[in-house]
Amino acid sequence: MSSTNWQDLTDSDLLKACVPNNEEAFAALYQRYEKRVFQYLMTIMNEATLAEETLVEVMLAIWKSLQTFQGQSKVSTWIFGIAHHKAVDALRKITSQQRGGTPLDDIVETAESGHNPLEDAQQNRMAALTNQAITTLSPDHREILHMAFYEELSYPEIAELLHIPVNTVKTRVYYAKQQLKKNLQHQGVTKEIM
Amino acid sequence: MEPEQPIHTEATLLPGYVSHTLTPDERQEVDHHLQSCAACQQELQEIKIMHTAIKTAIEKRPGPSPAAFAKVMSRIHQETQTAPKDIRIGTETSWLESIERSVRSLFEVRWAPALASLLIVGQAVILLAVLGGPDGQVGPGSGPIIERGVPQGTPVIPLIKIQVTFVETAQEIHIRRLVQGLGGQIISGPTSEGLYTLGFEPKETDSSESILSALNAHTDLINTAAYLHP
Repeated sequence: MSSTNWQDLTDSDLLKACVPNNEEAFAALYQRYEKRVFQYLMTIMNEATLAEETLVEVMLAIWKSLQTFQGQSKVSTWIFGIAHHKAVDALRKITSQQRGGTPLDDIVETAESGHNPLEDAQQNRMAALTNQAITTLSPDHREILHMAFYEELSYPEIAELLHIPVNTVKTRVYYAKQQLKKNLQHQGVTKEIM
Repeated sequence: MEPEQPIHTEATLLPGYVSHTLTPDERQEVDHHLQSCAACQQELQEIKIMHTAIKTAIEKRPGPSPAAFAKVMSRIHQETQTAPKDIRIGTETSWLESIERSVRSLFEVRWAPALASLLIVGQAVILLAVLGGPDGQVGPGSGPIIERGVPQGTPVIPLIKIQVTFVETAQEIHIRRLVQGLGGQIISGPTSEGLYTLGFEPKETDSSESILSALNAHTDLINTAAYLHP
């Protein structure tokens, strides 16, 4: 089975391949989703260590629940649903003081850089400001912007994942975007850019 | 306090419009509205900028450390090894599969040494009974076993024995499938050096070579394979 090219499988087929305790297939599923799930957790939690600990919990929960996936939703929606619950559980367990963590704009300094140093510097600065502005939003707004703008999930998919009505998703995305715009302007991002 | 209400209901569809996740009807509705609404055109521009900014910002964050992957896979491996076969995590447990697993478990490596020992003892008892004749005597000078124990003309064909080591990542289920697929069985193993002895019934004159070749072709499972001379 190790000759199977897991990358070529759809999410659904890869999930099915995991079911008879196939650790190799699950490793491929893990690698396909680890960064996306981790970034989602980072957006909600603002703290790398906690996000990584929760990532481990999410992945183990996925492994234990493989047979419960009914195929009625997309695999990604199912996985983010598990991540959402694990994140909520983890945040309930800790106090706000313990969630201080590493500021995102410090982390951005260590990110990969491209070829043009000036463009890189501008992009890094904008990325740092955006990440900083995101951290000042409420958890609900951070989460919904991540789902709508980064994961590009549809409104019905977000509604299913968060167990809220589609119209609530639409208005929450709108308010979150308005708040993020204000935060960015407050940080000195000019109105011409935003 | 929430920011101001959206000017138009279409404004709430603009993020989906940018990420192409609206239904065709919704998209058409937004297209139609944008033709005559300057405020929503401005809103659309802002959302496009924000969409790019958020994507770039999140992309630039570092990913998780490899330790998380190692931790998850180690926990999974541990659970898979310790969980009882019929309630293993992540498996379907229909009655057909339970039966299949029960049968398969008979051929699993951990039973092989005990099974082999039982067979040897059993064979020895039968052999003693046959060789002993009517008076049950067995002793020196009774002649070679092969001449007395087996009817004349019946050829005794020993199993082809091949000693193998498997790669570290080889899973038990794949090993069993390979060996059974080649018509063989695991006779004993693993030794402290990780050696397994496989037995195959010879089917043609050069079958030991063909079995060796077939085993060696599975480089994903087999590390070394060598014919074990009797």
